[in-house]
This record gives sequence, structure tokens and C-alpha cells, in this order.
Amino acid sequence: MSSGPNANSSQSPIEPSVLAATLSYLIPGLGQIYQGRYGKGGLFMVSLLGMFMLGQAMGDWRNVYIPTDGPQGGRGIVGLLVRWHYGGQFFIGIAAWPALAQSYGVAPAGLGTYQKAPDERELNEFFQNNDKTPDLGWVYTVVAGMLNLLVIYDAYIGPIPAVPLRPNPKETLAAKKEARKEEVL
Amino acid sequence: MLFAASIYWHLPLMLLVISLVYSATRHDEWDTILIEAFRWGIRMFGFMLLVAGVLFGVKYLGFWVVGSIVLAVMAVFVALYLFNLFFGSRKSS
Repeated sequence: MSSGPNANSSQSPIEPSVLAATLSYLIPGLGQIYQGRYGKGGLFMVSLLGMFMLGQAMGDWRNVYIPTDGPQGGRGIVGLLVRWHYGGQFFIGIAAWPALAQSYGVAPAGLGTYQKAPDERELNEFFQNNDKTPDLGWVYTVVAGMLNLLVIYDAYIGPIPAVPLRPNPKETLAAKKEARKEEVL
Repeated sequence: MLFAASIYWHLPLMLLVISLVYSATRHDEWDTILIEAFRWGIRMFGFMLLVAGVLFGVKYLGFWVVGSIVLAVMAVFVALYLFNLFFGSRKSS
């Protein structure tokens, strides 16, 4: 199942690799880098982690968390039932793990309040006193996590043999018309 | 003012990242990745323009006016499709 680094083959297919998929889950693009696809790995790493961090910054670093307090709160999976956003954010990998650690109360002291469930009243005030930017922020973080699912699958499958792009529909239509004309003649 | 206040300036970034990452998971050659990303970018931008057009239309023209226009356009497309289905192939043969 596993495959070693494959530095020079963007063409030759390799065996599906659970290790590469796991690496890509932990840090987006790391599995591709392990397979020798440095460009794609770098692209995934920069764009997905950048998108995730930008999303957090847009939400004032208070939109990746699992609610633990209050009537709707619960640790880990139970918290997901009332805040499903984390179900998407989780797939960005290690970058979303502090929320789990905070939820179970095992976060190292260095993390401080990073990805800790914010106070409900403060959060409501924050949303009321802002435009829609914080809302778009959590969308960014969830989209980054969901896109990483595709990246994980890409790492699992490995390099794809070169497949020609689908032809432009307009060109195809023109070719069909030409063929019809030839048939008529 | 618009540049400073609007949240919509974030959307091109999302469009760029989604189209690039999606096409990079489908292809391994950089030229095909970029071409496919451009195509997906155009498709998503077109869809967003369509949604924006409908929303602005609902705001300034009213729901029933825009609803009627959308239904009329859909009816034209269905009519064209049916016409092509029943008469298009006979013409060429």
C-alpha cells in the first residue's frame, strides 16, 4: 500500500499510499511533497493554510472552536452537534487540533485562548458590531478544510498519468457541424 | 469607500484558491492545471455574476418581475431544447 518518494515522475502512476494521504491530512500538501511533487505540495500548503489562517483572522481568531460551556456545549463530538463548522475545519489537519485540545482541556499553556470556545456574550457583541466579514471568515476556514479532502485523495492516488483536457465545447460544436456538412455532401 | 468596506473583495481570492486547488487535484502538469483552473474560475465567476444579477434584480425590480424574467428565459431554453430534440436531427439526415 505504501509508496516511497517518487521524485521525478509526474507521469508514471504509483501505488495508492495511505502514508502520503495521512501526511496530506496532517499538513496540506505534505503528502505530495513526500511523493516528490514539490510544486503541487507547495501550492496546496500555501493556499489552503493561507486560506484557513486568513479565515481565522477575518473572524478575529474566534471562529475555530468546539463549544464546551452552556446548555448547548459538549466536549469533542458532542460539541460538533451544535457547531457543525468544526466538522469541515477538522480536515485542514494539525492547524485545527488546538480546538480539540481546548475542548478536552488538555491544551498546553502556550496555546493560551487560541481556538478556545469564546464567551457567548462577547461573541454575540462581536458579530453585532461587525459587518459580514467574520461570517465570511468561518466560510473560508470550512472551505479550506473541505478542499483538503480533495488534496488527501490526490495524495492517496498519487501522480495521475497525463490526461488530455476536454476540448473546448465551441471547438467540438464546430467540428460536429463540419462533420455533418461532410455527411450531407 | 467600496474597496475599504465591501466584503466582496474577498471573493476573488476564494475563487482563485478553489479553482487552482481543484484543478491541481485533477491534473499533474502545470499547463493543464492552469488552463483548467482558468476555465473553472470563469465558470464560477459567471455563476456568481448570475446570482448577483438575480439578487440586484430582486432588490431594484421586485421579486415578481425577476421571477417572470427567469421563468421566461427558462421556457425559451426548454423550447429550444425540445425543438432541437424533435426537429434538429431530422434536418441533418
